[in-house]
Formats: sequence, structure tokens, C-alpha cells
Amino acid sequence: MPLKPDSVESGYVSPLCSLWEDQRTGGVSTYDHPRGPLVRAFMDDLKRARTELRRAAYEDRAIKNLKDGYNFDESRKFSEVLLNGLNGSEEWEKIFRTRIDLLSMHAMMLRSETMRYAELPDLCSLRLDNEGPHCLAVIQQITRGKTIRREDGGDNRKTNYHGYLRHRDVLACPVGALAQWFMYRWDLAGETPPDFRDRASWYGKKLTPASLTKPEVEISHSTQGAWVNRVFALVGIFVSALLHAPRKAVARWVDLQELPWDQVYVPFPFEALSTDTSADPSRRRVGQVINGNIIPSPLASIVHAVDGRFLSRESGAVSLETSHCGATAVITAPHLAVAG
Amino acid sequence: MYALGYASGQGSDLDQSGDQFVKLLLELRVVLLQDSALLMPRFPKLPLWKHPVFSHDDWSRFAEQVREAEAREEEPEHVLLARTQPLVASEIAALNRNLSGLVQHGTTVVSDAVKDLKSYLVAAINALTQQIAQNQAPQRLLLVPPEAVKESFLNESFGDMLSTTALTSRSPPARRPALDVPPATVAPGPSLESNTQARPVTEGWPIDPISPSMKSMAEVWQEWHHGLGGNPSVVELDKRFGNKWRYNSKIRQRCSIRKRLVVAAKEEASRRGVPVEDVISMMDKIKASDGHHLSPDKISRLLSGSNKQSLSSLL
Repeated sequence: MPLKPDSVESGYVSPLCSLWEDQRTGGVSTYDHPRGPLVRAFMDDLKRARTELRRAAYEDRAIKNLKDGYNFDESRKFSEVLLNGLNGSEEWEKIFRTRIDLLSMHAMMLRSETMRYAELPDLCSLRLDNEGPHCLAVIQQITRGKTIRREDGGDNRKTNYHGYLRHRDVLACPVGALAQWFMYRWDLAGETPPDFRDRASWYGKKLTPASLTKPEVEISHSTQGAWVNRVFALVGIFVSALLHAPRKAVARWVDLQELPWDQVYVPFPFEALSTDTSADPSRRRVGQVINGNIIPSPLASIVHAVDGRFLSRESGAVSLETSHCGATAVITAPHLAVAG
Repeated sequence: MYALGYASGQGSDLDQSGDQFVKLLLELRVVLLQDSALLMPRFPKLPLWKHPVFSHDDWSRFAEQVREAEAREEEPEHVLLARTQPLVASEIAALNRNLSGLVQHGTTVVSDAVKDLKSYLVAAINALTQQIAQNQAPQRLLLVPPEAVKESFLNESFGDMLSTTALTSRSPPARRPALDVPPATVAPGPSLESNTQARPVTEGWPIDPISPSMKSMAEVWQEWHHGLGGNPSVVELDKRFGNKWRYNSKIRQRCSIRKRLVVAAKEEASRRGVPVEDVISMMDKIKASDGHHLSPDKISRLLSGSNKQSLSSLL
């Protein structure tokens, strides 16, 4: 392990402190806390030496500086390069997965592991009536994460909520990206859709899995970064920390826009989503743009026609007897019958 | 709404997460179709368009509706606001006109009423004046101290019109020490006509028998022995009324201060063998360490208290 200040702290000092706490709790150790004045002096000296070394080695001074990230014009190009087939690769599974991954991290200022950990039961929808008519929010609940402090209920003891609204620009809208991702997974790519009769069959499914053939397997950090890197490379973004870039870029943008901090305080769900939609007067939600009146109810019943055996209208007006895939879909609706 | 649970015979356990997720999917179906209408022309190679929903007869019409709605430029709020301004101004102007009409009408009505009232009052006053002139002389209210009223005078003058018992019963008590308001200033002798401030009293001392301030020792001496501002002197008041004229604590305190000064002046004059007027004059010239003249009040305080000094030491 290289002896940088960060790595010394995380690789040596912190583990030793944890070990001391365990031993002290067990009554084994009678020594003082290891993080004493000597360690502090050593760390300070290490940081000073590191700074001098960086200057002596002509290390890139743009790293972690004010413009280490992307701007909002560049963020609009994420979806463009992805939906154009990522420069001809046309690996659509990866493309749709990376799109929802990037847009979610951007809209909710998430750390990358939060998206890697996210599972389907963590998602739900919410209508925000105080935000105007037809304002839909997608909420993602989070129980695991590096930054959820133990005293705040980290380690699955407390749930934090993040969310996002619809964006007026369809390319920047994470809600639309999520809808397209699910449609691709269950209506086109052949992944078995959730079977809601059996929790074990779908509770472990990842939102952005490593592969649709194994949706319970979490994507690796390196794979996630590699796909984000491909997008950034095509857009022309160079950043020092790939997966940190979205939340840092949004945080800077929020600061430059002088948005009130209480609108972006991350643990509170609706504020994080506000950074990307309602707080920016130049953007409107799609639901408002099209007045929310154009609701394609007969058409909508074709998409995501999840297992109708347990999903039925109480009124009985619509009976959905269909499999998930379009190729064999047979939808029975009051005004519509489609044989795919 | 949708009810989610296990199919009949497969358990009754409800899955709330599943219910919420299904509701999310139902919302996303609409989002997907709306967004697809806008994405399809820009990204025709997307595999999403292979889904049968996009080849449905209704799709083209719906997509066109969405695209038309999206193409409609929504006007910014400030433009809408600017457009409403003339309407608001017009409404306010109309409101102003209505209010002006109402005010004018109201003014006319009130003016007429005032005129009517005025003419009525003039007529009534004239009639009353005429009646008084014809029937009787004007009445005069006389306020006199009880000691000036002789039973025989009242009986002779007013006969059955007045009751002397009533007048006597209205006399205030001789002394009201609890009140700061003194008895009315009514000198014995001539009666006052309609004096609303003075009250008929038997005592006869002034409301302010003693001046609130002391400008000089000469003034103190004058007030003590000869009177000041038309008031009788303290010596005379003591002689006539005893201590009753000092009817409140304020007057008693003023009197005490002046007495201390006068007594000290007399004692000093006796000690020196000079006329007391000379001592009074010397007391007016006493200066403090800062060069200012000492007021009588200050001298009085120096002559009393725990650290009191003698007048000779001050002179």
C-alpha cells in the first residue's frame, strides 16, 4: 500500500484504532488511544511532504480543483452518446444500464456504490401534489452506503431516501431512463420479470446488475467505472475520479447557482431531486410540458403488463392476462386487443 | 386501485414492496410512452421500438399529440405576468370609478342631511332664545363659600327654590390628607361666578401655598415672612390655619426645607450679631468647590443628613 496520507489513514491508522477499540472493550488493552499527538504529528508531516512531492513531480493541478468534473451542457450529452449506440458498439443492455446509472447518480448526487447496491424493492413512486399537477417522483430508499454514518443508522439500521422528478428534457430525465431500462429488461431482453408471489425471486434483483442473465449479481466497481469512462470519453470529459464526478459536479453547480442548501441536503429525498429539475427555472417537467392530459391508457396497458394473475383491477374493467414479453403479449383491455 | 396479494389459495400475505413497485411500473408506462414519442425520431435505431406497442394503430396518433404538445412553446412566467398587468390595471381603474361614484353619491346624501340638521338646530335655538327672552331672565350659577352664605339671605332671596341643607351637605371635609388635590382656591369674602376650578371650602388656603422651587435665599426669606406670588407668607398661613394648610407630604417637605434654611440664617445672624438680611445675602453668594453658586436646596441638604455641616462653615 502506497504511503500517501489518505492510504496511511485508511490502511493503518483507522484499522489500528478499530483494533484498539475492540481490545479495550474486551479489557485486553490498557494502552492509551493510538491516535495520540505522535500520530497526528506524523500525519501532518506526511501531508506536507506529499504536497511538496506533488509540486516537485509537476502533478496535474487540475485534479480535484474547481473544474474537475463536467458542466451541465456536457451532462446533457450523456444520453445522446449512449442512445446513439455508444459509437457503434450498440451493446444496448450496457447502454441502458449505464444511462440510468449515470442519470441517477447525477440527479440524486449519489455515490457509485449506492447504485451498485440498489435493488428493485428499493424503488417506489410518489405523487407530489404540492409541486403541481402530474408531478411524479421516483424514490429510492438506501440502507447501505459508505456515508451513512453509524450514528445515523448505517449498516441497514436506518433508511435514507433519495429521489428525482421528471425532467423537461427527455434526454436528461432519469424517470424516463428508468422506464426504458425496465422495458428493455423485461419486454425485450428476455429477463424474467419480478414474480410478486415470491419475494425471494425478486427482492435480490439489482437495479443495475452485472448482467441481465444474473440480475442478482452486483456490478463491480471497475465495470461500472469503465462504462462511465466510455461515456465521458465520447463526450470529452476528463475527470480525476470517474465515479465521484456526478455528485461533485452537481454540488459545484448548485453552489454556482446559489441554490439554498436545504434544497440539496442529500439525506432528504425531495431536495436532492430538486437540484436537477424544479430548482432550475429553465427546465420543466415533462408532465407539465404535455399538460399531463395525454395519458395513453390503452397503450400503457401493453407495457410492463406484469403477471396478471395477481394484478387485477378491483372493478374488473381490465384483465391483464399476458406474459411479459412483447412477442407473446396478448393484452385484453376494454378498447384494445393486441397480439404481438 | 390495484389489490396485490397472493393468488387465491396461495396465502394471504401481502407484499407492500411489490405493491409499491407495481404502482411505480404503472406510472413508468405512461412516462415511457410519452418520452418515446419524443425519442423515436431522434434515435430511430433504439431496440425499444421493436416493442409491439409502437406498431399499434393508436401509437402514431398519440405520438403526434405528444410531439405537438412538446413543440408548443410555453411562455415564461414573467411573460404571463406581464400580460396580466393591463388586465389588472383595467380592473383597478373600473374599481376606482365605481368607488368614486359611490363616494360622490354618499357625499351628496351626507351634505343634504347636514343642511337639514343645521336648519333644524337654528330654528330650535331661535325658538328657545325667544322663549327665554319672553318668559324669564337668564340664569346665573353662583358658587359661594358656605361661611359667606347667610341663612336669612338665602331664605329671603330664593325662598323655596333652594334648600340650605342641600348646600351645607355638599361642603367637602375640612382636610383630605390622602389626596394630593387640594381644596379649591376660594378666598373668603366675595363670591365667584361659575368658577369651575375652585371648590367652595371652609379652610381658605391656596392650592399651592408654597413655591415648588427655590431660586435664591432672598426668595426663600421673602416667601417665609412676606409671601410670594400673591400667596400669603408661611408665617401667616401658620398663624391662620396652624399646620392644616400643609395638606400633603409634598408641601410639608417644602416647608421643612425652607424652615431649616430660615432657622439657620437666623441663628447665624444672632451668632454674628448682624442683621439676618446680611446673612441671607451671604448665603446667596456661597460657592461650591467648582465655582458654582450653591442653590438653597443644596445648602439645605448640606445642613442636614449624617454629614451635615454648619452654616458658618459654609459661609
